Amino acid sequence: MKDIKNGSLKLSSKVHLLYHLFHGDKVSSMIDNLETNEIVDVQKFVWEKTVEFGLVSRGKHFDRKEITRKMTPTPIFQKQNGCTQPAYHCKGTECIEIHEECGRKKIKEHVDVMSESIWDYINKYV
Amino acid sequence: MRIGELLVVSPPGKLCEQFIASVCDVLEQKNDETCYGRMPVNDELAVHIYGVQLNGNIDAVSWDLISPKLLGYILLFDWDDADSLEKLSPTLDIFSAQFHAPLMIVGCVKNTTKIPMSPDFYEVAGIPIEKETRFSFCTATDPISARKIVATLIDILLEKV
Amino acid sequence: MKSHEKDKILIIDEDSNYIGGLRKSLNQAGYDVLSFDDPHKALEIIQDIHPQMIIADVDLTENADYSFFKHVQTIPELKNIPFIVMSNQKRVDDRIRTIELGVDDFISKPFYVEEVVARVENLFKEIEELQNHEEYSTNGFGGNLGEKNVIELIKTLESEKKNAIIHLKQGQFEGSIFVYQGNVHDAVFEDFEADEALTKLIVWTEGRYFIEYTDFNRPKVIVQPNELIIEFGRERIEQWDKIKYNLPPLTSALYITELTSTKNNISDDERKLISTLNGSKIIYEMVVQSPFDDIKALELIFKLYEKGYLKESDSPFSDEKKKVASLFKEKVNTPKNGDTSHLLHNLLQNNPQEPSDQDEDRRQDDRRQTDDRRKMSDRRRTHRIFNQKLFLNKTELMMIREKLL
Repeated sequence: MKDIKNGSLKLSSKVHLLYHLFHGDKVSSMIDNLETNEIVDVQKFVWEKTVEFGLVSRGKHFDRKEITRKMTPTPIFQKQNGCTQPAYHCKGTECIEIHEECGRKKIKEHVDVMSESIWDYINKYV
Repeated sequence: MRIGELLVVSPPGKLCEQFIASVCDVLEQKNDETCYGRMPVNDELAVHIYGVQLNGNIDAVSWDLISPKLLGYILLFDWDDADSLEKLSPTLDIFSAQFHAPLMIVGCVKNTTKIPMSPDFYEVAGIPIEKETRFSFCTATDPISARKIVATLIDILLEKV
Repeated sequence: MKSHEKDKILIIDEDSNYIGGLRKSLNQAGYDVLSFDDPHKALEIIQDIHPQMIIADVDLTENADYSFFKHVQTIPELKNIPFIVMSNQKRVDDRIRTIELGVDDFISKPFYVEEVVARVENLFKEIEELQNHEEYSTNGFGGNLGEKNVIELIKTLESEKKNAIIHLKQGQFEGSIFVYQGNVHDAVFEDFEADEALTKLIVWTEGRYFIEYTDFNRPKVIVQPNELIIEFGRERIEQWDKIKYNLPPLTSALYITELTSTKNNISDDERKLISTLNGSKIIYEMVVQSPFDDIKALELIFKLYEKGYLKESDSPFSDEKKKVASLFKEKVNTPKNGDTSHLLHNLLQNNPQEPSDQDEDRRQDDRRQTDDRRKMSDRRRTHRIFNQKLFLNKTELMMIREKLL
C-alpha cells in the first residue's frame, strides 16, 4: 500500500491552482502530471478554498451539499467504473491507494465541480 | 530607534520599486536589482522595506544575514502575465521550505477593476494557502492597495504574538 | 525511557586529571567509559569500540585543525553520534566556531563533573526525543488526528485486517479503541465504555493518536459492522463540525456571565448544563462532563455562547488548572526535603503552568545554551531553515498597522 503523505503539494503548485481557479479554468488537466499524494492534496486544498469562498459568498446559507450534489453519486460512479467494492470504500482520497486510476478519476471530477463552484461564487458575489 | 524590516521580492521588472514607493512615499535608493524604502511610524519606530528582483538566482542573496531580522516577505508577480508567475515559482518553493516567517504572495494588477473578485474574498485576511502564507491582490502603484498588503502581513504576525 | 546503562562514552584528553574524575562520575551515572590520552590511538580502534558519545579536549586556537573531529565525521557509523568538546579556551568566537563545525556541546575547563554528567544525560535524552519524533516503531505508528481522523484510522486497520489498539489523546483526555482483525471490537473513554465511548471518540479531529499493533483479550462488545460505524461517525463529525465552527476552539475556556442570574430565555436543558459548570471550564471538558449527548451538549453550549451567557475566559486556563498551577508554584518555592522531582514531573505532565515574570528571567538565562543546543539538533536535518526572531513587540506591530491603514 502506497504511503500517502499529507502536505506534499508545493507552494508554487498551490499558487498555480489559485491562478487557474481565479481565471475560471478547470484545474483537473493541471493535475495529470502530479503524483498520487500530490493530487490528494489538490483535492483537499481546492475543497478548502471552495468552502472558504462559499462561506464568504453565501454566509450562513452556505451548505456543503450544494457542491457535493453536483458530483456523481457514489453508486453511479462505481457502476460506471465497474467497481465491486463496498460503497464506503469509494472515497477518492482513500481508494486511490488501491485503485489509482479510478481514484484519480474521481478526484479530478470532484476538483472540476469545485472549480466551477468557486468560479460561481466569485462571479455571482459582487 | 526601533526598526521593522520587510523584504519584497519580484521577478525582474518595475513591480518591486512601484510597490515599495507606494508603501513608503519615498524610495530612498534603487539600482538594477535592489531598492529600499523607509516608512517612519513615529519618532521611535520605522519600517524599512527592501526590494530584490530575482530571476531564479535565489543564491545571489545572503539570506542567513538578513532573514533573522525580517518581519516577513512579500512576493509579487504580474497577475496578467502567466510568465511572471512561472519565473517566481522556484522562489516560492524555496521560501516555503526554508523561510519560517509570514509570507504574502500577491498578484499585481494595473488597477483594482482588473481584480477578478470582490475584495471581501481577499482583502480582510488574504486567502490562506499555508500556515503563515496568504495570497492577495494589489495595484502596486496604489498606496492604499499596497499598504493593505503590508497590513495583512502584520496581521499574521499579530496572530503569532 | 531508554536505559543508558550500556551506553559507551569515549573520552580523549591528554590531561589525566580531568579524565580520572570524569570517568569515575560517568561510571557512577551508569555509563561505560573508555579513555585515551592520545587521539591517534583512539582513532585506531574507534570503529571497533563504536561509542555512543565522544567527549574530547580540542585545541580551539586559530590554527587548530579539528582533525580528530573531522576524521570521526568521515566514518559513516560515527558521523551522527554526539560529540562534546572540552577546552580551556573561553573566547565566544571559539565557542561559536565549534558550534558551526557541528559539535553538539561545549564544556569550558575547568568544569564541575556533575555539570558534565548532567549535560551528557540531557544530550542522550534530546537524541532519544528526536528519534521518538519519527513516531514509527516496529509495533505501531502515531501522528496527528488533524491529518488522519478516527474514521480514517479505523478504515486503515480494516483494510489491513489486523489486531490493534488505537490510543487517542486530546489535552487531558485519553481514550482507546480496540480493533480485532480489522473490526471495531470495543472502546473506552473516561468513565464510558463500548458504544458510548466510541460515540465520543469518533468525532475527534484534534489531538494525537498512536496505533499499537497488538493482540488483546477483551470480549466483543461493539457489534455494529465497521460500515455502519463509519457512516454514523461521518454524520456525527458533520454535525459536530457545523456547531464547532461557530464556537471558539474546543480548548478555550468559557465562563458563566452574570446574565444567567436573570434566568431569561434559558431552556431547562441549558439550565441543566450551566448547573454542571463551576467557574470557567474548557469547552471540551464541558461537553464530556455534561449529562447530555456530545452533539446536544455542544449545541447547548453554542446557544448559551450566542446569547452571551457563556463568554471566553481571558486566561486559557480553567479555574481548576489555575488552582493547580498555583499549587505547583507553592511546591517549587517550598524548600524540599528529599527528592520530590517525580511529583513535579507528574504535575507538569498533566497540568500547564502559568508563566510568571520570575520564570521568564530564569528562562532568559538558560536561553543561550538551549538555543545553541537546538541549533545543533537542527543541523541534523538536511537543509538549512531560516527561522524568524520577532524583534518588535505587539504594541509596535499595532502602531505600524495603524500607520498603514
